[in-house]
Amino acid sequence: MTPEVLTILMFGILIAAIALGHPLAATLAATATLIGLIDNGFNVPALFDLITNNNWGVFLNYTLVSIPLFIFMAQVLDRAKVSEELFEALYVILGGLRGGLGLAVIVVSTVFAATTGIVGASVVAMSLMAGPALLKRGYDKPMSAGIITSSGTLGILIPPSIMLVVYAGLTGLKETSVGNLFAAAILPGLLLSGFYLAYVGIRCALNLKLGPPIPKEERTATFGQKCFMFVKSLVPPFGLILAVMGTILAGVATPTEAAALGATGALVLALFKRTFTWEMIKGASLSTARTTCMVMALFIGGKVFSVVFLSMGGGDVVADTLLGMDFHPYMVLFLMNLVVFILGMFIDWAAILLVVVPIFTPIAMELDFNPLWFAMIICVNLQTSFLTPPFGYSLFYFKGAAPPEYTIGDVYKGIIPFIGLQLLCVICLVIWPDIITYLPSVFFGE
Amino acid sequence: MQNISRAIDALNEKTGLYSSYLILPLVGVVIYEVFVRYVFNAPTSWGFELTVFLYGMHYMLGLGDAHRTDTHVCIDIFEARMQPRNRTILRIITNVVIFIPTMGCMAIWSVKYAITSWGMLEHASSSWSPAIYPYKAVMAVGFILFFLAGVSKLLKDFHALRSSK
Repeated sequence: MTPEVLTILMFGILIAAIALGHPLAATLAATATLIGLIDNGFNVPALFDLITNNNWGVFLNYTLVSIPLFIFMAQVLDRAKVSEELFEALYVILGGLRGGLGLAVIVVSTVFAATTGIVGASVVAMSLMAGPALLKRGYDKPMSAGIITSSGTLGILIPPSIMLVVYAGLTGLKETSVGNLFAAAILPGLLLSGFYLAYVGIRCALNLKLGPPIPKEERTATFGQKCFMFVKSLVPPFGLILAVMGTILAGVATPTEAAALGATGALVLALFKRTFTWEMIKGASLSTARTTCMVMALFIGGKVFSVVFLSMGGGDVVADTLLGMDFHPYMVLFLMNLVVFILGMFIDWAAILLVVVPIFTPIAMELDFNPLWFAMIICVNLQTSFLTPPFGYSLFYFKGAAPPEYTIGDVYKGIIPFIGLQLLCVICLVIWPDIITYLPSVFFGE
Repeated sequence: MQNISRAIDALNEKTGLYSSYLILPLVGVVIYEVFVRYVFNAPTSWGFELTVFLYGMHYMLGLGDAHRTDTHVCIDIFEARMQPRNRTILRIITNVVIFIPTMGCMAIWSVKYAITSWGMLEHASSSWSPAIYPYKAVMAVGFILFFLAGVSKLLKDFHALRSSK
């Protein structure tokens, strides 16, 4: 069979097989196995020698070492309950404003996104903490659901970020090293957070019903008390941000080392917070292993898929088709992002990255796109995969952890404007590439 | 049959639990490496490789347990709407068609890979030059455990199907 037929067959089978509900990692590997065997004339030993060699390559991939470390850090932090204190402080400080609690949720999520690299724990924590609070204060339910899910999801973009580590581990390019990607993601992450803040602030200022302020008689804290609470609650997260992002950007530590420093910092914090018990360590270790295995299983399955796909010439088929139509480069960029966005409705970020990055990166190079810029466009776009119905992880995390008064309809309705803001952010990054490239050039030079 | 499935699950649970603690030495080794490099200006020759081995063992040995606890990502939007009996049948089919052959072959070939490495007592070509063959064996064990977790699910689904009649 020609590579063209095999390419269509491979994606057709993959999509059909995914819908059957079997774990994605195995489905990716099985689809690749079938197509690989058709391609090489059913030479089983040759294919599995290739696959096993590849699995060993994943075992030795130093870039990915930071994944379990960042996950462990997030799990310990989650159990140390540091985000609660900051939320309580901001609840008091911003509660008097229209939509103030919504703004508080976004600020807390942004700060903690800068200490964790995963999404699950932060969305669950925010849903448990802010879900009931916003409900009690009479905030609009769809908007509250949108605020919590979308800002909780910032953790996957704002560095440190597992998504960026996986991207770096996948491409192995110097331009898209973990350090460069982390530096590049800071401004886009803050821009997105700023969009959320502006949107919630403006909507609530115009419509009192969406986010009513806390009544005057309940606002008893003095200005001094507020300042104290705020500063006290910001010390732990900023210490961690300094330990992790500070050391990476200053070039003092590799991302893996910074992750270990962060994990140690989180343990020290737990010690201060008196949540450091053997049970806590045990629970954090086990959750870390499960989440790590989930990501790594996808890495193994996705790697098998892309190795087979590329070795049978599928990459050239996609590249020739896309480039052969002689579109404007931005049109090709748009099409690639459209694919990522649509895939994001159904499958999660790791599987998408593993399938599309090996295919798209050569195309982006062909079009002379800056690899770092291209990576960041894809990654900001990928954030939507957590939020787009029918299958968005953050929506499920929220639904599972927030009070039952929030219906799935509220969640779907509330998330739409925030998805719009993310796409707006992608457009801004296309128009002003400096948002992405400025910080990497400051910290690491060109 | 249920005894086999229970034994597999117990094995995976224990392995998953103990291997999850590998995260602690992983943190320790990296921190130690940073410490000796900056404080004593004497980086170790083994820190880098040991870190990679710990990370590899950490996830390889947990794959089976993650499968046992249904942690691996799957798209169950259609599956969740099916009748329990039909869902069980679908699960058996996908398991037999997708999981068992692919993961079975991956397990077999990683065992072969490990045996080859043991045969020549393979060492890494670095200054520390650690033995590699034990880690290739760990990878093989990891894939076997993952495969067994799938077998256990299959046995449980068969049992559920039979008792639902």
